Amino acid sequence: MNNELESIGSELEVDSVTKFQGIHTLRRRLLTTILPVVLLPLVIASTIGYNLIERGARSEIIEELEGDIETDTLLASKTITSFIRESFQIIDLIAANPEVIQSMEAGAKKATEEELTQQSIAKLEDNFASTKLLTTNDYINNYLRQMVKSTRIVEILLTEKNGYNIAFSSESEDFVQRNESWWQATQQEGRVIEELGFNESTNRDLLTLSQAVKNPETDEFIGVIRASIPIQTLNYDLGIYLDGEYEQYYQFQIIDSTNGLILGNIDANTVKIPIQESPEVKIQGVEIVVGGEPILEIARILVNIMENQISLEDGEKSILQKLDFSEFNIREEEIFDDTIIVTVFSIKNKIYSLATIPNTSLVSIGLVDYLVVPTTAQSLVLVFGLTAIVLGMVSISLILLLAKQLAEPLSNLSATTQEMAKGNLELEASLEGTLETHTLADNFNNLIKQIKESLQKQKALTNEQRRAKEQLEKAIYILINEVSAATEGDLTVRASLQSLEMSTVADLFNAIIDSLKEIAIETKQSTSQVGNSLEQNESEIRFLADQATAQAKETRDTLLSIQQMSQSIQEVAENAKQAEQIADDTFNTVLNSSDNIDLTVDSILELRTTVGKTAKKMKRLGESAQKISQVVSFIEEIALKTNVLAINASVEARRAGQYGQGFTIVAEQVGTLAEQSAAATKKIASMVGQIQAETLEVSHAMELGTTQVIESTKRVESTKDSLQIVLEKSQAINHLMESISQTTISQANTSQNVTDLMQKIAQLSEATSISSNKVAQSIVETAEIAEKLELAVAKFKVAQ
Amino acid sequence: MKTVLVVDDLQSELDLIANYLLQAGYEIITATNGEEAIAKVAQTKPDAIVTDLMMPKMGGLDICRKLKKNPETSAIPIIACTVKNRYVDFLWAKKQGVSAYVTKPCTQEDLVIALQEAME
Repeated sequence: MNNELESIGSELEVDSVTKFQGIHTLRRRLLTTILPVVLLPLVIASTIGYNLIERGARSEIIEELEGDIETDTLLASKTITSFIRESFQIIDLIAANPEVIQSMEAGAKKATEEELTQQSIAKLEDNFASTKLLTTNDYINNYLRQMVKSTRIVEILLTEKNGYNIAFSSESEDFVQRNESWWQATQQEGRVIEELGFNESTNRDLLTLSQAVKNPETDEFIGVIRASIPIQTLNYDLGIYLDGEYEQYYQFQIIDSTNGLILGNIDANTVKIPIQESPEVKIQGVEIVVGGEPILEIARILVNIMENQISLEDGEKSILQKLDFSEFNIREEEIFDDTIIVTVFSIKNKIYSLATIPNTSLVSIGLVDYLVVPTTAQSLVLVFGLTAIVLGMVSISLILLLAKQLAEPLSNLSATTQEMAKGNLELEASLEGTLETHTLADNFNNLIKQIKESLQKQKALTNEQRRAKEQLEKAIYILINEVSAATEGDLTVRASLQSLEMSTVADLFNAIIDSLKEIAIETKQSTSQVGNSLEQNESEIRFLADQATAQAKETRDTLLSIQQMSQSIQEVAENAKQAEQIADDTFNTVLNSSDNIDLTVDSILELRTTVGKTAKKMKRLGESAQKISQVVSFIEEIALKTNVLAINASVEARRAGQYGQGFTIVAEQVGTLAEQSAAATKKIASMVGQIQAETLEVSHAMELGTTQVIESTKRVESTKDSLQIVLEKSQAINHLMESISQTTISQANTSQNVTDLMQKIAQLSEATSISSNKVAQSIVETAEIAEKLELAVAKFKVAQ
Repeated sequence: MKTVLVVDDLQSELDLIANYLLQAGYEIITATNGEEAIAKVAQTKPDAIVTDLMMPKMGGLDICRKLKKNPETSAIPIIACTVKNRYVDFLWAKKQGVSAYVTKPCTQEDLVIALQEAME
């Protein structure tokens, strides 16, 4: 029992480990849920409180900063004023020196005497290029060099009233200063602070002051003193005065409002560097006015107010118009004897303060970025942080205590159940904690009790089932033992019917074995019958098959012979057909020859007649010629007589004299005519004689031709008779050939039929042969199968 | 009077059943194994056979199959009387040609009713 429980328990344990992964304990759950609920409001309250106080502190700081920066700006302004005033005091000191006044007047006197004012500046520069001085006064030059050494001034230049150099601490570029703007301005205004400039010879940013010098007695303009002071000196002065609590966040600039140039720039870096080590920085061009154009604009307006060009109210209005301010305040501040125009305002988290510098266009600017200023709120963060941490820790402790009280009874109960789940059912859960945990523990104990009882019942049932199963297995074992021999073919076995459980199955086996037994016996009988039968008939079947095969072969041979024969008959038929054709052609040729011969005979006969007719005509021609010769002799006679007549006539004519002269000519002509007639007649006679002779020849030839024609006729006749005989014979041959051809064609057809028939017979015989072979094969196979069957059935053992 | 062949390998059971049927008015012949039963049937041609199923060598269903194969004896109704009480046993017996099935222990009435029904 314990084993089973342990196995169940171990399963449960595995389950709880895997199943409850990611589920937290009660204590942890309490911490994770309640702690944020407590701590979150604390953090929010702290943050809000911090922000409120910090904001208050910030506005206070801004106020303080505004005050500071204003003060510092004013201070800067004052410092600059003092600086400039002191610088002019030094110059005043120089101007008050009688030697200086004297040398200026002497210089003026020398210029007047030498009429230098009449000469061009270029010429004067040439004339005084060597010294650049009107008169060389060593005392004054030394005095000036002494002043440079002992004061902040680094350069001093003196001119007389026409602007010609009379003395300097270091050599000047020009001799004539009258054409310089600073000189002209000084002559008119008395005092001039020049725009900031970089001096290349001293490699410094220089603030240059000029002052007109007057004769103390006559109050007459007698010359100009010009002195340059390095800016670094000014910065150092500013740095000395300006410091405070937040000095590292401040920046100060001194600018010239007319052109925006920067005279001084002070911030945490420059303040900390002593003047001796101050790097020689070129300020101009590097730095710009802090805050840019708006600040420069305000600076200009402040300077305008200071110079009484506009009223203070107009200045404020003008700023409000030009720049984006909701309100803007400008004040006048009286410091010592000076009136300083000052203002404080904020742009983009930066506080600016601007203050004018009396009697100059310079403005001092102070700036502080109050966002980057660390505030007193830092200490507040510490206070609030510490408070929050202490409160948080107290909360955690309280929650842990609460969680422990709530969770302990439950975790104890959980431990007990886990132990029980492992199989230890003898334990009992202790009743502790709240009412709920009491009830839970009690219910759990009851549940365990019921489980114990049902486990006992189940065990009894299992034992009973096991026993029945064993019994059944035994019965099956017996059954297998009894009938297993049947698998080897032993059908004499029987299953006993002893077991109540297995007897039906045993009976089923018995029924099957009985059926098998019957089948085996019947099969044995059948196979032995088949075997016997096959043995008896095997030789006959084989004979039959062989015979069929032989017959098929013979039929094939015969078919081959017949095919050959058929082919030769076909050839004969074709030959006969050709022979018939030839005979036919011959007959036709002979027939044509016969007709031609007939025509020849006819032609010869016709020739004979024509020759006969011609002979007769020739004869007549001969006769005609005879007659012509007679006529000719008659004409000859006439001609002779005519000639005689003519001679007579001529004789007569001569007798008649001259009357007969004409007649003599006629008679002579007649005589000539008669002679001509006699000559023609003689020609005709000879021609006729010739014709007669030829006619006789032709007549002879005709006679000979007639004889030949007759002979030819006779020969042709005999040829014709011969041809007739040939024609008759040829006709007979033709008939004969025709009948031969017809006969051979019918013979060829017949032989083709025979071949076809034989082919079919051959196919049939082939099929028969194959079938009979197959039958034989099947019979052999059947015998084999019967044998195998017999062998197989022989395995079965049946009762004798 | 109808003749009934009673077959059982246990003499006590045989007597009990024979007694039941005698009282019901049947003429009884008995056999104590299968071979004997087959021989008795061949001899006397009973009108019905009441047989136990679980017997050594030749069981009640063996007898049943043998008689059903022979046309001369196939018509004789066979009543199985056995301790085998499962439904599958009953089905198998019916399949082998048993006309009625009585489970032991049985009353005389059970047996006689089954016998009468089988013979109808």
